[in-house]
Amino acid sequence: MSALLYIVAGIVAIYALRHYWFTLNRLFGEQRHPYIDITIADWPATTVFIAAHNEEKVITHILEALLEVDYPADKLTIMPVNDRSKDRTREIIDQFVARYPGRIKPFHRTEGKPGKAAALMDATKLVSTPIILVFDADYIPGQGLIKQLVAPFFDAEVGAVMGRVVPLNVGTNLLTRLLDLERSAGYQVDQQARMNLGLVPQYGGTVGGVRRSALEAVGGWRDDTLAEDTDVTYRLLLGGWKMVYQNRSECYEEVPETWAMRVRQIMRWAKGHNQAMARYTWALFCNRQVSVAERLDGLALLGIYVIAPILLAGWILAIIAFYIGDVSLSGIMIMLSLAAYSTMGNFAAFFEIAAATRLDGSRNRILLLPFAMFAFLVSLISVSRATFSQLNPFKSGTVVWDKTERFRTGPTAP
Amino acid sequence: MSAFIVLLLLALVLFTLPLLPAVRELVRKTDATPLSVTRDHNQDIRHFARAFYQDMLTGMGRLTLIRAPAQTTQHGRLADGSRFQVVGFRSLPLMTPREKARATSDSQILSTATLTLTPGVSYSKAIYSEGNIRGGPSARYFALLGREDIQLGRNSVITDWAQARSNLVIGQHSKIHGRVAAGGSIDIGNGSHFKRAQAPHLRLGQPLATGPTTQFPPRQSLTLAGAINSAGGRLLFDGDLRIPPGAEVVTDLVVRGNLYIGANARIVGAVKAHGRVTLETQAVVDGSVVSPDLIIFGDFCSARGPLISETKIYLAKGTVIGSMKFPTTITAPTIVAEPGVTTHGTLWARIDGEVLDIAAP
Repeated sequence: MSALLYIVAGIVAIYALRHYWFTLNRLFGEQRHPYIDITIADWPATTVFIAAHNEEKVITHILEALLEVDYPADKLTIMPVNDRSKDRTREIIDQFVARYPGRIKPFHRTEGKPGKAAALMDATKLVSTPIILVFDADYIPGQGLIKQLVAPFFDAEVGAVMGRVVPLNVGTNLLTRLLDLERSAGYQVDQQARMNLGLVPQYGGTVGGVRRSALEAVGGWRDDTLAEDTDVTYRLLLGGWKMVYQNRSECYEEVPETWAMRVRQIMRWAKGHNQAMARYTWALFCNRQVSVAERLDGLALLGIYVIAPILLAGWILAIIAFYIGDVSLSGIMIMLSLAAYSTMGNFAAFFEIAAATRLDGSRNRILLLPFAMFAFLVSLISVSRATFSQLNPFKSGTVVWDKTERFRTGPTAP
Repeated sequence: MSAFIVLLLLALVLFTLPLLPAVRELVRKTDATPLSVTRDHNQDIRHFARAFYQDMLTGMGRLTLIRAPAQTTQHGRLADGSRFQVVGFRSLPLMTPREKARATSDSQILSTATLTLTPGVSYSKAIYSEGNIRGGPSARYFALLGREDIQLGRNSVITDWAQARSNLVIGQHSKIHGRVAAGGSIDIGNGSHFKRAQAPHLRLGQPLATGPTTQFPPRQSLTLAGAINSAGGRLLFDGDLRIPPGAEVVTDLVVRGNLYIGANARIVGAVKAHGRVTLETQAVVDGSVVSPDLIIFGDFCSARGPLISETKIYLAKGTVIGSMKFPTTITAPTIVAEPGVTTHGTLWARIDGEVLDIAAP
């Protein structure tokens, strides 16, 4: 049993070191933003997909924002991908189409496989632009965002680009405030560090885009996955393409306001990510076209959600081992090791949060960090549940569009 | 039993103690607004000039300028207490004896017509002219906005920004610490340093008297072999790649080593190398040139752009980047140009841009 415990501790220690490495790089390392200065260029034709499923509360805001962006209008196609909405989404989109003739090309999807990936797959067949950007309907892009997201595609090696997501409904409750901290850490530290270090920034499926030729070269969108973004990230990586993260390309989003929604969201992410892990771990391990550093980081990223049940198992094993006295070390060494492991290992992600709030220039929101422990526990259990449910051979593998409820009622931005 | 309860309470206190600041912040919400995302920011180089012009209109009214008597200079104070003067037609900015002694001007200067500024003076406030601005040598400017041309003498220094509606000429050995823009063209003299410059037409250093003298035979179409991946419209090469002189290659190229593009060769597509990119004489890239390493353009090379380096870009004489129809961006921490380089669009040197002080042939 103690051997098993040490294996768990070893795996967690690897992830903890990775978190520290990223955090220290972000705080003290050289920061890479090579494409952010591109303000003038012969901009390529671009399509912006707005993934929409029952989005009557938010679709107006993103359409208004996209109509105001600083991008040549003749090179920008705005395509709301309205996947069988049952509310007023279609009506609102059609009103915009009538009001702005030639600017918006709607795709009202009424049949076919459900899910965002399937909808994107069908929508991609309708456009011919070399660049495709994707936004979820609750996002509010700023004026300069489209150029910022397109700029990296001037680099012939770039297959996908990802911008930074910033929660808009931060002050609603404890959950939204904790998600704000979590998003900060994920983007401000984790993604940017991977960009700095030439590793694998992840295309996140929204506030980002793909090069159409690269996407087609790796087989297009897959409609049999719950996380088409992670799936595309890894197929592009295996195909020799680079992902770029643009930390200064920021966009507001709406985060879940209820714990039930949050649990559903993170379970969906975990399942999708684990699907990608099962599909691409071996292929990535063996791929000689990908650098060793990218392979190691890519493998670590693939396993990120599996760490939750491993960590949970580690805690249970530690308790059992303690009570049955099954430990091969003793005395002060084991106490120190366990203390170091518990403080530095399990909670390394919190250091990312602290660093991120500092980099963001936030002042008092870091005071909420102790509460992050509760969100961490909820995520740990939810992700573990999702992972274990995937091991059930009798469970149906049907992909559905797991809708995130919208709460927006007031103004669109501060 | 009581000891157990005390222990339990103590544990509870120790557990909740770190949560107290968190609970306080949760209740008070002192830092619960969304992080700032500037939604209308589009990185326009003219942002500061526009803001200044708007402030000027609201602060004192452009009507003041139009009504300013010819041949006189009026002065006063703005709401914030700072001094300003309105310089009339054929008049000069006023300087107090103290300012003259220190060779500084601390007034915001607004002019109704062509404005001539005294050489060697340090102007610490923004200067605006409805007509041209002519600055003498060795002057230092905080900000300049000209409705027509701006012409600055040698050894000038711009500490913040300058914008001309038409043309901007910056004399030799000048230093531009901020951003400069023009609606027509910008000339930056030999030996000058710059950070960011934007215009439809930028001439770096003394223009060349003659074009390329070497004549090359017509280019030969070339199909490259040895790519490790050719999917998605680009060829991916491991290690270094040399494009032979006079070859024409129609594809995007990604090279994981150094890329050498031979004299008069042409790439119809974009190029990216993990190592150095070197273009020899009169080579052409009909697309972007990207490298985390050094990018070197030989004599009379051209590229459609953008040019992106994470270290340095060197542009030899006669290089042309972008075109009037397709302006583009050149960005690197360091940009070095020989005299006789033409670019169109934006030049952005994060650390330092330099026009070498060598005589153009």
